[in-house]
Amino acid sequence: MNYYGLLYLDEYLVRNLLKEALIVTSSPGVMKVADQFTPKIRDIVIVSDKEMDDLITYLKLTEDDSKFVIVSLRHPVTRNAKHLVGVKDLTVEQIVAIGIYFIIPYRQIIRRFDYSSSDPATMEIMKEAP
Amino acid sequence: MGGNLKYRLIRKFKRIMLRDNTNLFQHIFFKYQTYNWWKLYRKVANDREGGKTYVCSYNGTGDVYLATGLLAAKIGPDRVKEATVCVVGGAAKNVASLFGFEDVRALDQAEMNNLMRMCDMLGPENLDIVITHQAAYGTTGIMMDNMRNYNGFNFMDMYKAGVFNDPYLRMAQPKFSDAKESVSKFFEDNGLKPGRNVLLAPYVNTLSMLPQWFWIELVHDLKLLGFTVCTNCGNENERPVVGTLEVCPTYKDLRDFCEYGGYLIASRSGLCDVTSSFNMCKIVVYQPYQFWGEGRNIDYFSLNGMGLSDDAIEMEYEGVEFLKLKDKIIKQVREWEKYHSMESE
Repeated sequence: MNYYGLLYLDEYLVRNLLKEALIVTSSPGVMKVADQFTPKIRDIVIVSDKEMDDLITYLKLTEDDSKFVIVSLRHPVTRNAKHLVGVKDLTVEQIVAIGIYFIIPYRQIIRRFDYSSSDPATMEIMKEAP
Repeated sequence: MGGNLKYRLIRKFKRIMLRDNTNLFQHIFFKYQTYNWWKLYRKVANDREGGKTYVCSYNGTGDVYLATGLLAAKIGPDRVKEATVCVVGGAAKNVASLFGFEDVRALDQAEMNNLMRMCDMLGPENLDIVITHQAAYGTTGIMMDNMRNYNGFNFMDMYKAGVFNDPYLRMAQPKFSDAKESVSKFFEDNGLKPGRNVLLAPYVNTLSMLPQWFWIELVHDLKLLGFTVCTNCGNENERPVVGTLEVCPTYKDLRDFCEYGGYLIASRSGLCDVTSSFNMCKIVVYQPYQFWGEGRNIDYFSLNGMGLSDDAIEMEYEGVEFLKLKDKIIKQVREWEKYHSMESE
């Protein structure tokens, strides 16, 4: 999930004419590998899972969440997209790129990353790579 | 102008409040807002033992038909009686009751949006209501809609897999009332011909409409063939096509009304979902220039493709060729008539 979130981030910024992104994540691996995916990252903020839930709650409360993209299959609760994976061969990659980032027309991004780290946090993200 | 100023002031007010998180007004505003949403949530949540609340957050007739039909199949007849269903508007309420739901509550769209926001705020672990829409309106949940038509993913798949997590679920059978007597009396009183009456359904909610003159010309040709024609008008804004009788059968009586007349010609709307199982000539026109994901209306909403029907006659038009479309419809009506007269002989 996080791997594809980072993989299609650059394309999302291009299509929406945005210069850079601020990433808020609860996964330390994202901080370690994000710069390999795109240079257009202003900052990365690490928060706990509880803080992440609180942030989503806060976004709902303000009714002004248009500047936030929540890269998740099951948060917020009105988005239960995890059921879609595998139906008619839909993949997590398609759901992230098309469903969340709205990259239509869609073309699969195929990239190879060279990394030698055996750090578990990095491996957690990169294991999703095909 | 006045309206614009009002919204600009509200926006400005919100911005001032968001700038500083120690702002007293901000605390009061958020607390007041959350309190109102919470009150609405409690009002809607089912407090009966074994009962649950299911929410259809979009007011489309087709959406409510699929959501409640699949829900009834999923939870079974006993739990249907215990369940509370929450919908938007009175028409949706009538559709939900076709599947045996007794406690159906209608909210307005603004209330429904607030309810969805409250659900988002509470999070999945704390929620005791079930949302039966794939992309609840007014929230950041709207992402599944973007998947439409990818890998042949249609309207029915969206509900079966996306909402109910069961690709093999089958729709429950809707229960229509027996209205044969009142329908035959209505036909007699209004000079409509049984078996040779066309019900037109030109009005749509989600998709775009065909031009009014197209329907007028179609009515002219149908009358030349000896048909009587009426228009389904769901509310006071929907006027009958010139030269036709205005009718508004209830959803419960719809089966007998349509089957007694024998023909339905409709722009693709929620009414087509409700009438999909009827034994009659169903001609459905899809607008070809509205795209859903990587496909068109007919790819996503096809009644035959969704498995709701296997004998619907579905067609599109090209450019502004509405006259060709009219000829195509008339040809299909004649063929249906010929085939069925041979069958009855």
